[in-house]
Amino acid sequence: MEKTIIYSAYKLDQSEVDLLTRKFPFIDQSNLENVIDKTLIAGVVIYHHSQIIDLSLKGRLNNLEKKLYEIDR
Amino acid sequence: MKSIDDYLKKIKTGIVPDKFKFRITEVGSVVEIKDGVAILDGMDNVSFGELVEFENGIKGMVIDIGIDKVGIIILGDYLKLGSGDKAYLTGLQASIPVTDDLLGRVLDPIGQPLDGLNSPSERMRNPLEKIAPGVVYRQPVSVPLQTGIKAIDALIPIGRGQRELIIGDRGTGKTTIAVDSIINQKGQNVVCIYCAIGQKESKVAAVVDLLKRYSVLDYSVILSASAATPVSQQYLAPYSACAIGEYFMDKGKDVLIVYDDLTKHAWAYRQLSLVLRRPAGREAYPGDIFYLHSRLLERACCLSKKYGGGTMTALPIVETLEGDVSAYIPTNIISITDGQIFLETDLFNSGVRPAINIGISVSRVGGKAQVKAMKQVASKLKLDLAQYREMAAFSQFESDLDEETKKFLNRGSKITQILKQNKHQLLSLSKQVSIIWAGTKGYLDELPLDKVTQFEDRFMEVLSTKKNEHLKRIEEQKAINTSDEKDLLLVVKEILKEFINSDNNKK
Repeated sequence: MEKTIIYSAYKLDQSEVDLLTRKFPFIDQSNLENVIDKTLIAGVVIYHHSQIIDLSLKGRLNNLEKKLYEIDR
Repeated sequence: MKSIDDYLKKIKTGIVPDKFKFRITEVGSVVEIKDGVAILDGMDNVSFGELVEFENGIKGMVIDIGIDKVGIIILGDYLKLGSGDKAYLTGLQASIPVTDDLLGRVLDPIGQPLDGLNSPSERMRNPLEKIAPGVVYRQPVSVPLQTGIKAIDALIPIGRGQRELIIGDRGTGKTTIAVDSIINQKGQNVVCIYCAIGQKESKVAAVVDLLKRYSVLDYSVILSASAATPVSQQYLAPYSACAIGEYFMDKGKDVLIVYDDLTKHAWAYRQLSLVLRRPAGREAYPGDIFYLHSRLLERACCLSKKYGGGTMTALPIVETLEGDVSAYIPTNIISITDGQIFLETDLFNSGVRPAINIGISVSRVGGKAQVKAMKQVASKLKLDLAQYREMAAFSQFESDLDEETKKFLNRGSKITQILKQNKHQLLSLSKQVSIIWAGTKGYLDELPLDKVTQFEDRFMEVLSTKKNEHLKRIEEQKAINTSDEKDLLLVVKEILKEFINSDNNKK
């Protein structure tokens, strides 16, 4: 099983990791790395294999920026 | 400047209703960058033909999927990418935004504007790759597409929904025929799409200018992937143009699409295939070069009434070298299309313009797409021209020939003179029928050859002004009856008298 890397804005405690594992069953808790990235503001970004799941506030703000730009056209 | 209130309203309707859905995005990182192509690592769940976006906003399309690598053609400046750059799948198949506002615009193959105006709205996107409509969806071609060029409308008629190839050497007038066909669609309720593949920027600018001058840009769309654009865009350009055409065709409209030209399209695909290390075949083209064009041209069809009745007529252009129509790409496309128009350098140089070789040009739809009036005059025209071609070799011995042969040669040379036409000077159906009728009935036989063009101009002038009702009647009935013939004969006799008198006065 490949390693899963979770980027979060602050260190995740066990209950939060359990929540994520329940939602995304491919996460293997024994092969997990938690990296702190303050620029995410809040939320997590999960990297697994070649997949990214962006649940961070930074990601949602970026999407909002793109949407506003499109509306302005 | 829009007011803040407008913005806020748009934001409320555009963004607020969107529920948050998280997406699992596939990511890949660049391992190799070759000329216009990037090889990526990762991206396990990718599908063929999907659009990807690099971190710096450059888009690409998936064209090769291997066990642990993905080949992507880059729809932008590949020099801005570096090894290790990340790319994200967008989840969209390669597609182009389509709306009614595309009419009058100049776009590139991914839908971005080249005329400095706003980008088209993305409400609806049409996929670039699509399987052509099957047998059940089609009906035979029956409505003519008037090109305004006498030689084509009389002898090699094109119907709506047909594919007719325009083939010839460089500088023989291929683009001129295609653009004239577009100009003649004014008022015919036909959407025209001009797709420039690998052309000079100056040439595309000249075409845009020409269409503007004749006020036909309002019902045309121009899609340009010029020679300076990345090869990936040149490869996608005809498919984008076809996707736009299908949007209008599905709404029941008639579409005319010009691919200028498919030779350069084949070169672009060859470059991509060789860079992707696909096996090279004849003339270094990849094995699927036939499928490249067949799947494109099959999408031009005539839909049955049950499915909207829309049609898409394709005029692909192929450039030959030294008149060699037995080369690889020309033979491929000749076998796909429903006929071809051959243009020859010799004819062009000897003054026959449009330089169409009637003998080997053919339209497989033919008379089914001709109006009755044209059919009545065209059959005699074909016969006279065929006889002229047979005798053409003897034209050098004019003094030693018998009367019969001399008659054929005379008639043939007059008719050939009638079929000459200046570029962008297009004739309506009734005018074409009138002048061909006059020629095939023999009323020009007595006129000296150098006066035939003057006669034609004067004939057209009189018919458009004093005797306009004759033309109107022919247009409405779409046929010529004996009373029409009598009226036309009067006009012809009048003009012939004018010419004889002016000759006498000169003497």
